[in-house]
Amino acid sequence: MDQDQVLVRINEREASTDIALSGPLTVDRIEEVRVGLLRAFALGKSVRISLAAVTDVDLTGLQLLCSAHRTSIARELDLRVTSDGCPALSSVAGVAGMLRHIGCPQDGCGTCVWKGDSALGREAA
Amino acid sequence: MSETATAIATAASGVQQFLTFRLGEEIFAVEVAKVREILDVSTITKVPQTPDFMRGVINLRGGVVPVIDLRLKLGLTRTESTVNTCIIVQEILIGDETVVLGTLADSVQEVLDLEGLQIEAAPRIGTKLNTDFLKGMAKHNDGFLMVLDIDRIFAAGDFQSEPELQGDAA
Amino acid sequence: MKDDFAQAFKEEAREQLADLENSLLALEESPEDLGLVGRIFRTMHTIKGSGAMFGYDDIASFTHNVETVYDLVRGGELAVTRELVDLSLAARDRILAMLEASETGGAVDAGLNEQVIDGLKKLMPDGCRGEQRPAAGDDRQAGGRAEAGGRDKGGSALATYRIRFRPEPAMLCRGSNPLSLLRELQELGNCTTVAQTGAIKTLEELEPELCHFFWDLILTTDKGEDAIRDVFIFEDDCQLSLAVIDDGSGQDEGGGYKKLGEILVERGDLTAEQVAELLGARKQFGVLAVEAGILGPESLAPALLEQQHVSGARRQRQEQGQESASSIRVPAEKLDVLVNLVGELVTVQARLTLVAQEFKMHAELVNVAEEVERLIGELRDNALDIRMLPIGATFSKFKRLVRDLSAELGKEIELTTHGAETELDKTVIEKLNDPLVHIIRNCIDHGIETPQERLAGGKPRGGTVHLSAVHSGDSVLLTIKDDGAGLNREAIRAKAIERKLIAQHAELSDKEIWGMIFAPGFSTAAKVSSVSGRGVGMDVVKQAIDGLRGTIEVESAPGRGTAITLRIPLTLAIIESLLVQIGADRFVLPLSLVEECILLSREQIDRQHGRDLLQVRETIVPYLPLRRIFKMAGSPPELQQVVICRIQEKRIGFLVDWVIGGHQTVIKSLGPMYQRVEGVSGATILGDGSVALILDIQAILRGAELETDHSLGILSKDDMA
Repeated sequence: MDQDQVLVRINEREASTDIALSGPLTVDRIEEVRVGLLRAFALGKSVRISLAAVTDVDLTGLQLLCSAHRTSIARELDLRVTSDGCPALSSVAGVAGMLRHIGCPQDGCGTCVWKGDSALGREAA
Repeated sequence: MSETATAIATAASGVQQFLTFRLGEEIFAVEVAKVREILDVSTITKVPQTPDFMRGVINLRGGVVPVIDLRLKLGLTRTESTVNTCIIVQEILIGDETVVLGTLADSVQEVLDLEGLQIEAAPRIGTKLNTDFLKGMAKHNDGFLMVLDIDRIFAAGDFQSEPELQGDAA
Repeated sequence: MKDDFAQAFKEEAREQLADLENSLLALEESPEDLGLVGRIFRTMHTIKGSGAMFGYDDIASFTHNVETVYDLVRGGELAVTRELVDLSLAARDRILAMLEASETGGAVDAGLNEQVIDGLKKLMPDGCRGEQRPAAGDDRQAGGRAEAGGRDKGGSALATYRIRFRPEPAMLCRGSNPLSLLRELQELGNCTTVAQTGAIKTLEELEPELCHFFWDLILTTDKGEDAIRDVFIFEDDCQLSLAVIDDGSGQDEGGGYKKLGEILVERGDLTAEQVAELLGARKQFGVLAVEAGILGPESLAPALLEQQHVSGARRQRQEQGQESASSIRVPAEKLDVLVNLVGELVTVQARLTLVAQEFKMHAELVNVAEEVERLIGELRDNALDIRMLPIGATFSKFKRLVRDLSAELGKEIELTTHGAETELDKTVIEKLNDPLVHIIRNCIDHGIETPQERLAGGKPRGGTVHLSAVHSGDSVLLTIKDDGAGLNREAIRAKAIERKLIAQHAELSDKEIWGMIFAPGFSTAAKVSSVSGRGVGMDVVKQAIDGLRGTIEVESAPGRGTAITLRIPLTLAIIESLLVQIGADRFVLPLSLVEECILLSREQIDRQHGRDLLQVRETIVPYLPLRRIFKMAGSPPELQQVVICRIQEKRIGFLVDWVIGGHQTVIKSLGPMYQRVEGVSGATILGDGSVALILDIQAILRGAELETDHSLGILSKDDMA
């Protein structure tokens, strides 16, 4: 498998649409991932994103995850993001100040992916 | 007079102030800048097994200060205590260290200004004294002043040596 | 002021370095101890932080490298090896060298510094080497590791800033990375970072390559505002707002910070009126504001974090403040002045007591004099006690010495210590350092055998040097014991005869033979090594211990080892002594050596026919007539007194005119003019203002023994030159 290749693997299941991302989640390929995520949301089911195979994350990656969260609120679809302790994610999320105890303003239903002690990116710590 | 003031005076006119005192028949002079104070003779405690010219130590306001018999050091006879005898407390340099010590004088005379030019080299002959410790001589009134180089007297660190070793010039 | 701080930094750094050395040596013994690793890391971090603060940039950047390594060790990425400890100790020495160079204005050997750094870099796993790894940077989030940032000392220079950083949206495409800017900010100090995500749109509308974030940061740092602005120096297009919210002086608020409402008003999120209105209700203010719809949650979160952050920073500062309040740092000179003043007071008090005795009928005066005497006694004890330090700090220095020297000589030697808590006067401890170094070097070099020799001799491979300190009366006994080969009696004897220190057939006790090793220029080492054996050393030890009014005893057993015991008086300032009189002069003898005083009549003297011997109960004790030795004029009284002292197991008397009694002796130096006078070690001022000399009775005894040898024709005068 080509290391630099972002793979957006979409797997439609009965109750949800699973997306597995792998490779770098960075500005070069971010548009590609955005399109992939949009396609997943278009299926109208709960979306589950796994970042376990992501090798690198930059700001656009973090931003895209927030955007996905916002999309899930707008469309009233459930979103669950798991990282399985992806080290690239936890360190970047830390520096960027994503980890928090209160959700973002758009997070009316308390589903912010960064929130709480067990949140995304904190798992590795 | 403070050291700075003396230094300024010297720089301006080449004039230095000296304290004159008597040892036997001779008048000696030391730079005022080196003199701390003049004391009456009190009890001097002899330190055993030291040369005669090291007369001992005195209590100077809680400090222990050695007292030297300059007459013996210069090859004269021992200083005998009279009403006029006093101790001139001076700061001298031994190596890099400033040491406070007292020297015995038969009597203290005056403070006077001397110009550098007035001081001439001491003749090696014609004096009963050990001239090694003299900066020079200066005419004063009808006689001569012996200007002492007080640092040199103690420069050699020969405090334990016997006074007769310095008697050659006599 | 700056100089004061710099001085404080230097003093602290020295302590930190001493501490570091101990930790490193301990780490070598227990490499798994993560507590020690943490301690080392923190020490490095503190040195780095305060070094940078006071402008010791070389020290800061050098230490940064070492800190980075220990960050790896702490993370389990690097194992503790002997090599690592070696390099760390070398690094520690380099830091000390840089510190000293800054004091003397000298230059540091940059090559040596590089060597150490290169060595450390080689230890690091690939990938961590080249780049500036942010030591303790990544996990400093939301108070993640408070102690890392908070350990930076110098609380008054710490300030807390509120920073809002809004990047130019297209900066990502230009290759700039806001993340690295954030990281730089976080490395400046203790930083709380909050990402503001309000501008991020849904996936449909998102322009994913532009940056829609902005950040609120609360940074507590000692680096100053310029350092913060420097981070953004190349980012002209970004918006940056910077405000000091806590300049480090606010201590009076009990460690708390502003109320939430105030923060929000300050930040421009709410007006004061809105706050006042809400405060009427009794609910958590923040929740109320959001509920009221006047405040977005995006504003509340950073304000709450700001409150937390600054409170934390203040609390920490306060704790540090309390820590320093329980002990204060005083320059040693000030203590010396205090002790000198107390010494003068003791002298004056002696005079007062004398006067009071003359006016005995004046009961009130006698009472006051006694009271003053008691108080001054306590004052003296307290003043001297302040200068007392445990000898442990000196001990740990020797651990390093033993480690390095034994490695150099291919020997396996362990230093064990006992009684590190034993206290001695600071000046005494300082003066003990060199003699102890000499003795320990001798143990390592000559005393303890190589592992092969030891095994052949049926001993364990590794040798031991045991250093112990224990109180004994008004002295401390320091023993340096090794389990080496022991002293070679015959070699010492032969050498002593060769050097004409003893006669060919002299019968000498073991003690006397061992004492020979302290003679000037005496060394039996067959070859000169870099460690010792240059024939200097043990006589230097003797001189130094004499200077401390101490004594040395040697015990040795062939094949089993050597023990050298130093008996050192607790203080150099004031001693208990016995005041005696000869003619008009008074002298002082150290009371610790005195056993008893005995009257001696002229008749008794005459009975001995010129021999200076005295019968004390069943034993015969020789005595030294001080009047004769000092060549004092006049004749002794009919009835004299002998002060019997014990000097190195021998009982010896000193004949004086009479004994006046016990005396608190404030020791005064006789100065350089009397440095070489044998038999007198100092002076003291008596109650009547006159000077009494303090006798060095051991030197007097030595001199008398030499004299006897001369008169017996054992040695010619030339041999003594």
